Amino acid sequence: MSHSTQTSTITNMKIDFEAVFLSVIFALMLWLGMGVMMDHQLSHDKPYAFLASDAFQHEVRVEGIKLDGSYKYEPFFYAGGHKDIIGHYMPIMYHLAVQLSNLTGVQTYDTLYFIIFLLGISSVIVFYFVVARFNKPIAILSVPIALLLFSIKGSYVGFIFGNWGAITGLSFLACSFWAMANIDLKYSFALIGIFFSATILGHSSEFIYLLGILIMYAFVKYLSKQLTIQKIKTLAISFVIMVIVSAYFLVIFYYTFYQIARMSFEVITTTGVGAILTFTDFGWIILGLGALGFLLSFKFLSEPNSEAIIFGYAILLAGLTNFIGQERAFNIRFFWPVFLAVFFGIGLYFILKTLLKKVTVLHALLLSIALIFFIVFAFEFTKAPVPGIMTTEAWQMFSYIKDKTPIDSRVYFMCEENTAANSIYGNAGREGYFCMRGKDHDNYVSNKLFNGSVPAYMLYGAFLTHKISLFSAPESYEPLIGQDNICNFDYAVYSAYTSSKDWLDYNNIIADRLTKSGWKIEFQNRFYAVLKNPNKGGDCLAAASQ
Amino acid sequence: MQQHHNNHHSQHHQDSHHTLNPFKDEALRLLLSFAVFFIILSIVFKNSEIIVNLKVALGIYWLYVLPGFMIMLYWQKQLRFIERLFIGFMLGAAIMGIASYYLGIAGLSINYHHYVLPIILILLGVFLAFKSARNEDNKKQ
Repeated sequence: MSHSTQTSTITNMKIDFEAVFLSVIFALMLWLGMGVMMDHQLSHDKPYAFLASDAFQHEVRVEGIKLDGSYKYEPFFYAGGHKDIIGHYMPIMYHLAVQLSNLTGVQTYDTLYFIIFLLGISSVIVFYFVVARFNKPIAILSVPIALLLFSIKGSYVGFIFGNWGAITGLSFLACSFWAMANIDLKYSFALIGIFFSATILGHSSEFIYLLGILIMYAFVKYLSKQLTIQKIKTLAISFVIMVIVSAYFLVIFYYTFYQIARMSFEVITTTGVGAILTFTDFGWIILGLGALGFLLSFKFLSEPNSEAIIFGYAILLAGLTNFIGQERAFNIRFFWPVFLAVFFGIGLYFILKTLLKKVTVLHALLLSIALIFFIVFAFEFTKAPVPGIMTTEAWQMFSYIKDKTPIDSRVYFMCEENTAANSIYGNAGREGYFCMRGKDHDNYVSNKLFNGSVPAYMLYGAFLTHKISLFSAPESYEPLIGQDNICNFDYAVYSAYTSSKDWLDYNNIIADRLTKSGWKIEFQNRFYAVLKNPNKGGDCLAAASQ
Repeated sequence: MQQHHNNHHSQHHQDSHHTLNPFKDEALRLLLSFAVFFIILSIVFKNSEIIVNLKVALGIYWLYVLPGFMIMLYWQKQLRFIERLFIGFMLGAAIMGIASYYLGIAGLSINYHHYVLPIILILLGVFLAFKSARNEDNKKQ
């Protein structure tokens, strides 16, 4: 090959405007969703932008998996000290975060956050390709709506409050849609099977919805005489692959999360925590165009390559199943800006077509850029860094306990602000118990009585199941929830990080009593003190409290 | 209204005629995509040290993009580069996540997975790509 030919090869490469456009979308989403919030840093010196217990749950678990080298068992410090609790959360996101952390040296609390955003944003591009099979200008017009993932509270909450399993599951759900849309590719059963498996192992409840969506897809294809024997065969093989790959985890899922799934058909209108996405969050213009597109789309259902429309309808219906008792519908709604955008694109395309007669890719690109500006300026996005609830002082305290105390220590955390996000205590890397305020104990607090009894909630994940078998009922430990004696702990962590004067006074009473009884302060900073018990299991208090 | 998939296929087939070495083209595009990804990370995470951004970019490509993209080479004739790039990333992430889970349970510590697994998947992708290319040659003959 001559030099001139090589040069000619390079200069012959055309600029792929679609690729440039998608790169801009990708970059913009990463900036708006993660960049600003994370203070434009990939690496932080403590867990950054962690805002809820769910987020800390994942942060604690991923670090435990890294330390243990596998997810066969839950990290003991997130399992009430037990070392044989079967790992029961959907594993994919954790393993990706640990791999990236091990390779780059970036901490798992940062790599996990990055992986979640990367998966979510990439799935937007993946679904773009599904829409593009139907009509490329419509796909280009639709994709800016996905920016609303990071503006509408009911979507963004999934990313920032720790619904990361759902984000992972939805991301691979988009990939499953892509694979189904490309079912005519040779050996597509491998792709479909892998993405189905990844949906289960990303977040199994999304897979439950996928089953329903698959039935709808098959029904529509059957009615439009496109459900060939080859397609049925491909889907069947995909299912077999999925069952084989996911079998081990499906058994765990069945005996854990599936057992607590709500089976009632009551209407659910709130999750109790976090915002819920509703139609009006899109604004009347986008909603109006989306409604127009929704109505116009019916006539295209029977066309080949209309999978994006089928999946759009299916996700819309799935997101409304809260009206038949399914709380997970609100998780599906996280990605309404992604999957329902096709209707907006169709609505806008038809209006353009009446004005222009022919809508080209160039028209769509230009209008899409204008749409991006409209969305960025008309909707609210995060404008400043969000450090989260992990203070420097708390991180110092957790780091001290993790690095300097014996690994089998039992630690009690006094009442404070972080009690509401109690998974945070897993950062101590020890068997932990935290104070949960309750009516009984409030009595002690208001009367300023301390006799050694403390409200102690065992820190653990969703389950304490240590034995699962296909041939017998699962076995679980009982969690310790209730009162315990402070003398049963190796360490007590005093906290001044509370807005309640009553609890601050009470913590001071406890700390004063402990220090007078010989408990040694091994670590102290502005908000926290770590006190070591001189007589664990014995009489560790100098005199009875009155 | 309907976008025919054949348009993509015939366009890609025409593009192949203009390049003497489609794999070299792929490699150049992949390199360019890495450069774009690194630039994006450097802009979005402008307060991070550049070496951190570079490590993460390289890490993502080594762990997920490269393995997944190599497997997607099997469908080089049917799918465009940009589509294979993103699907490849998600496919790589899916396989790496699933395989890592089961390997960990089987006893191989996760601390080795980032070395071992990408190599296996890249070799698998190369094998599949050559198999696909050979099938094409056999069809032409």
